[in-house]
Amino acid sequence: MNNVDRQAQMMDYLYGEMTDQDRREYELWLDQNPSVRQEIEEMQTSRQWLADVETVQPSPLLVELKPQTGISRAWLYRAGAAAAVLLALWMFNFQIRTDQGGVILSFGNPVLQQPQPVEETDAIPAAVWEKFLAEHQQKLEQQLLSMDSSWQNRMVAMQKENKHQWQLITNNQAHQVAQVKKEFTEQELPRLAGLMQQLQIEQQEELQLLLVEFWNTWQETRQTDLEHIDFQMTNLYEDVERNQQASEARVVNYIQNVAGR
Amino acid sequence: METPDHKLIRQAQSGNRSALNQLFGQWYPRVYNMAFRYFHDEDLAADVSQQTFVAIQKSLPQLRDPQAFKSWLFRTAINCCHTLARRRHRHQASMEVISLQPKRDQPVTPYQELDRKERSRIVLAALQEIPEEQREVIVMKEYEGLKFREIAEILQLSENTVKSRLYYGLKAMRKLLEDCRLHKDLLYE
Repeated sequence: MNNVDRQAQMMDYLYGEMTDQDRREYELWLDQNPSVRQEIEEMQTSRQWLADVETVQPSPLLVELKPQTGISRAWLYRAGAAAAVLLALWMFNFQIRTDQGGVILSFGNPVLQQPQPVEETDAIPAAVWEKFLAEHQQKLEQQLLSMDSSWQNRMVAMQKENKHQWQLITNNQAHQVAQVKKEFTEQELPRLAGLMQQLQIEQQEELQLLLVEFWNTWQETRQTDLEHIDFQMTNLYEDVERNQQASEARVVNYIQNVAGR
Repeated sequence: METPDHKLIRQAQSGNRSALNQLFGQWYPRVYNMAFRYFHDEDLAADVSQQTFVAIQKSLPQLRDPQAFKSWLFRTAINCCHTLARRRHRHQASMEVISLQPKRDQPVTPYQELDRKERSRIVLAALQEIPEEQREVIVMKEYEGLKFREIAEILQLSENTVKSRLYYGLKAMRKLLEDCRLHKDLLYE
């Protein structure tokens, strides 16, 4: 037994993949080979250690099997692009103003009116500037929040609108399918049934004609065959008669010859 | 005769999403645990499970014989393990072996306090130390309880090669765990 066979047998024994007969024989052999038995016991210890490994609870399977719901990716891209455009407009200080009956679109800083000359005053205290800046910042933050909220509302509204549109399309499709079904059942089906019936009648008639034709042909053939057989039989009879006469003549001739001698 | 499992596979093949979910739910813990024992890493186990089931979902309609599902699933999982292991070895120069360093200078007594979790951790760490081809056979045999014939089919090897790898794997495990002084007397007090 080579090394690989010996290892294979050992593994079969260790994992109970041996027939009863083989196991008994192997155990008898092990009795004579204590070193191999020792090796098997060591393997068994390894197995006991391995059995100590706990089974872990897997985290949920992340394979996406459910159909996608919610806002589609395309709409998210569109919303993102729209938000980017609005942000850019805001950053460049885009304005729409009406002036003397017309609409003015402008970018950049607004044209300031010529400042009225002011009287020189003392420098504004730092605290006042800080307060002014803080107020301004707060105002801007509020505006941003309001924009954000407005966008969220618009997104939700768009989503709702999409859902509604989708529902309408689905309903419309269902209605159209039902209409087609109804039309088919009421109009097309009777027409098809009529056609089928007509086709059936035509086929029956054709079959009958074929049968008659076949019968006639068969009758003719039969008559011809009978006549042929009759003719053959007559010929045969005549042949037999002729042969008989010839034979009789030969016999008479033979008798006469014998008697003459 | 068609078993309920085979019926489930057939339904999943025909596009029944609920059957597919049920089928995956049934096999996912086994694949996950196999990968976890292979890598001793929950994130990698999750990656392997994910990749395996994505591959299975993609190719399920092409499976002709539902009886071959189990072998096919494990073959896919083990291939994913190999791929991830190769990628990991490329990026990681050395494995984390802190827990497996032989502690010859320490007294034996601390090991008596090892609880089941700790023993489990050590054994799994030891598994990471043996060669990949021995580890995968041990995982499939010890934890998945597959027959030698099935493992041979999955790994596309001869049965004798599988047995030989298992033999050397068990020997290597014993050597490693003995180096850690994880004696059975201490383990099974």
